[in-house]
Amino acid sequence: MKRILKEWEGAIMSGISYMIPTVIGGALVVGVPQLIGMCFGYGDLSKFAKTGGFFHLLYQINSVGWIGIGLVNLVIGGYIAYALGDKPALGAGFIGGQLATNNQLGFIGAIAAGLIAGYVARWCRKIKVPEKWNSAIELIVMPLLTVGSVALFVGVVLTPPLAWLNNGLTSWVKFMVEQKTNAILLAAIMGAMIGSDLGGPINKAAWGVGNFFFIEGIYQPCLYTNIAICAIPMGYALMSFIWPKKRFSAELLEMGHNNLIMGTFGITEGAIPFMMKAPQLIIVNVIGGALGSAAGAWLGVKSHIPPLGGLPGILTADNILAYLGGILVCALFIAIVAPLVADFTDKDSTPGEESMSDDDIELNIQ
Amino acid sequence: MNVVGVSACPAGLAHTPMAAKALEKAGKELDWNVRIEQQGMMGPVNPITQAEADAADFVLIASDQKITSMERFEGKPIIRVDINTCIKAPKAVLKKCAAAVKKEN
Repeated sequence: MKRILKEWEGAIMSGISYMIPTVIGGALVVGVPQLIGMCFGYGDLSKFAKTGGFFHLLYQINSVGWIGIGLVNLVIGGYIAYALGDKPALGAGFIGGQLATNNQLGFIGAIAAGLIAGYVARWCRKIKVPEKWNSAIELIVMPLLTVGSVALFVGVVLTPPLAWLNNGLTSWVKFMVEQKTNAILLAAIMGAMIGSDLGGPINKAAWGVGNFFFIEGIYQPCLYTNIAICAIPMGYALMSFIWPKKRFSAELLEMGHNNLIMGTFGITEGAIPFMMKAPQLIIVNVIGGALGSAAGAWLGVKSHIPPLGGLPGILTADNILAYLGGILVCALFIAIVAPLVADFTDKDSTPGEESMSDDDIELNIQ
Repeated sequence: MNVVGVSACPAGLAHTPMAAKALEKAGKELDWNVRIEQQGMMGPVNPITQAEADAADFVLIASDQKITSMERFEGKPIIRVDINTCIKAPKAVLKKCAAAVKKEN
């Protein structure tokens, strides 16, 4: 059981790693024309759908970005399938992901379709037939069975329960973000997840959930994660500027300064070197992320256009003070607390190697 | 010891190169020949050639994700290890893998 779950986690993370460039590219190509339009006082580009000229051009570019955002389920379904079942699974995964979009099954549907396509393809490889039939199996039978299983299981059998689940989940999140107390709670959980492993599976799970609601048009969860994502590296950058230089090794001081760039563009991974140096900082990151996102929710952070990450997110937020306030709370917390609980000087250079016993290293021999 | 491997993480930004560099550095300290390919956001970086793969004693995959071009390593012992473990304790990982491979033979 543990092995299967580990395999699912690996496959879903592979799917997410292929989805990242799609969704970021899409969001930027939606966002940039929208921002240019806003500079001229046009918040809604769709009214230029049938006109000509400069704003129509912005509208055209903007709609291409929306295509990218609409492909998120397709990409994640396809590459989950690919991770499990290789090339023969990819097509069925793509179809299953799009099916999830069409039948409004959400990301749960896309993940389910990807897993089914992947396992069926893997099982198909085991079919043994006389050699002359091999090409028929590869060319006809495998595509039929993989796509057919997706159609049967996701398209027919699982559509009612998955649609119900997705619908319930979406309305629940909508309800959560409308009410202040619940919004703060949700934000705190998502912010904590972002801080927990800085770009690892828990972080990417929270980020993924934010983005899946993003494609449903609910932007708050994404904003909550964006606050923590931007603020955690910003916190380490701020730390390296406000504390005396002698508290840091030359390397970490440099990394702290670099985190200014990491934070600006929303890359939590920038904070990893600090966490590697002192594992207790995980707690600081978790609390900081939770505080920042919760503060943002408390201040009522909102967006009516697709939010951008990092500092550019200021431009797309309706309530700039709430977005900045959240970032400031988290960044200040980390900048002040981190040096109090961790030693960033050169004294013991690699604490990791000793603190790890041989039994903690799990080998998976294949 | 001749070791080749691949590292990969969800975003492919930080863990991937960190694990690759940690393992290669640990290899140098052990006086082993360790080469790790990074399958990050930009696709493969420092790719392992077929000749290098053929010469390796074992293949270390620092990831639980999908790794592309695995056919290069056919017939070699392949060991998957969590990427964070490889960053934290690269030397211990390499040693434990080598011991496990020796035992298999």
